[in-house]
Amino acid sequence: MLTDVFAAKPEALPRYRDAGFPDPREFGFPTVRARGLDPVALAILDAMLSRASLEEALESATMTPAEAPDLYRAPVVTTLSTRTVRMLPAVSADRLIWLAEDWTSHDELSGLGAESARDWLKEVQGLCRRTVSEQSLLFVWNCL
Amino acid sequence: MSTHGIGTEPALCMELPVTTQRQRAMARRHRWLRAAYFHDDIVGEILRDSALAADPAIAASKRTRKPESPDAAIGTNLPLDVVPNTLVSRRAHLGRSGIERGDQLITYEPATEDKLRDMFDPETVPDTDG
Repeated sequence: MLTDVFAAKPEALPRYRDAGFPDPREFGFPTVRARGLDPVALAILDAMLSRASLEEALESATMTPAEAPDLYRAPVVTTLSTRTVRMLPAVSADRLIWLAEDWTSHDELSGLGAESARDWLKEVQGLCRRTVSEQSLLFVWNCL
Repeated sequence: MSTHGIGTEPALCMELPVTTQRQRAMARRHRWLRAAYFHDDIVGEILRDSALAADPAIAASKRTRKPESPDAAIGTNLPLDVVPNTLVSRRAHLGRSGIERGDQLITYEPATEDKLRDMFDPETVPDTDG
């Protein structure tokens, strides 16, 4: 599953929804592309970064504005937890590899190399910082 | 499934996803996730069962996958993705991860709602789960 993280202002979402949730990068949103980072994988990261329980993180990771989400009909947009957006930028560059190693040790991240995960985390850090300055939110574009 | 003639090519790299118990539990709770994890199962099934799987040149790429790696690749320059045969997925995969043409997509038929329920939540009475 394609799982791109993108930044968007809340007021841009109705226009995005009306367009059928196309590829967020092509739509013009700042986007970090990835695949295979499903809500469970992102919830594990959220719980690692914050004091949230995994159960709480799982609920956040599966939140979607779609009333009847169906991946066969349209991509499903979920939210990247505000805890992750707040906590991830605080991880220093030299500690990022430790976080990546811990994260990729979970079965849900099977096959993803720690260094690749570190690079992804670093890119998403940039998006997180941007959301604060631009008052955007981070979302995940889930598309089969 | 699309035909690619890929059985004649050496050095297939593949990455086989595995659905965990935690993911299956979430699929019971959130119906839309069932298609996602069914997709992971199908990707593994297609790549394992295809003629390619019998090729001794197949090299698994565990621990080396990048977040944007395609599902499989023949040699170093022909990426392949497995997608459900839907307009939204066929369109989404073109132009990324080196997928430039429709014949780089291996398609499968989407699962019915009943099939997904039977796979992920067989105890639930139809149309009553959330």
